[in-house]
Amino acid sequence: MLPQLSGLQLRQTLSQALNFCLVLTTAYMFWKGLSVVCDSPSPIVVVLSGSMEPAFQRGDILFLWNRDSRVKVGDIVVYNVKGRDIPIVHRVVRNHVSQKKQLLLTKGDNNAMDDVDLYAYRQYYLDRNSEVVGAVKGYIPLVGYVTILLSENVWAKYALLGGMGLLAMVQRE
Amino acid sequence: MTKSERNKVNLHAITDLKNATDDEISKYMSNQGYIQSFTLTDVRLSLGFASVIVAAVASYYDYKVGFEAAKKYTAIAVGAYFLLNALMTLWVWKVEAGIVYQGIKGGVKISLRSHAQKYEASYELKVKNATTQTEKEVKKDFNEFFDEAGYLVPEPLEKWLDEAVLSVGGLIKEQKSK
Repeated sequence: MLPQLSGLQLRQTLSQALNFCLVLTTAYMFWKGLSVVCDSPSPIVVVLSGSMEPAFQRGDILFLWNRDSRVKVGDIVVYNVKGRDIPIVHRVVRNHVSQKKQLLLTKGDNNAMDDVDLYAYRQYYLDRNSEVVGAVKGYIPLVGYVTILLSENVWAKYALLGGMGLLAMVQRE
Repeated sequence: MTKSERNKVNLHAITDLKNATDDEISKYMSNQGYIQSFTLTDVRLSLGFASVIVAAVASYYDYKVGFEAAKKYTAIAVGAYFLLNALMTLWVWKVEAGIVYQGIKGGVKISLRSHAQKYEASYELKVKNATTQTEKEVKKDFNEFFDEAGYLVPEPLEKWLDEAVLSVGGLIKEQKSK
């Protein structure tokens, strides 16, 4: 079997493995390229809650930009608080600026209270540089429901990944 | 090779017919005593896997040190990845350009380039003798060497290939051992 596998067959197997790897790495590198351009670790996020209604609904996709060193009051920003793994999309309602840093207070349009309760214990402001992932620059409604399905249903994720892999192995177009 | 060792091909899928014929041509050439050269494929595979390695290393480093610290190297890796991919695409498009077989026998270097029009059930083959730079284009309908069940029938194909290879001054096996 082994001498048979050298030469042509080995190269055909390698070619198909390569196709599979390229499907995965191309998607990943496009994502990383966008991250670098937008200067944000996650330049596209999906809205998971209704706290920004009617501006954004659950399932909207948001495009973030993080190259401006200061955000403005009225901007909608996405931030990560220490100890919480899900990013939050809320509007900036107050800010304190100095030469060195900018502190923000945020609030969801659809929430009665500001976000102090969502911040870490004894934290009253967000730090622009260390906690904000980016300001929202555009959105597409509904498309994000696919990722909500994928993240909330583990089997959907495996099915997608497996399906992509299978296609890459089987196809020879 | 007996019938059952060949795969049945969907007669309505031109790409499948072409791929099956391409595979058969490699077999035919090695039966004629040609030594296949894999340089084209090896370059393509090297470029492809190099880009995959770049992506893997970039992903590991980003995971290890975090986005901010890895940013500069991530940017370089993204550039390198797409450059390698572009080179690979160019290679497939301009250099490989449909070549399905390259081989050498007794100082004669033959390269075969195949093509099938999307909605036309015939196999176009460019036979090139790279030693004398003679090239000839031949064409044969798939139904002349596939039976109605979808199995490739080697005899008419081999006869046609004999003629094609001889016409550019290539060498074939004198007498076939049955």
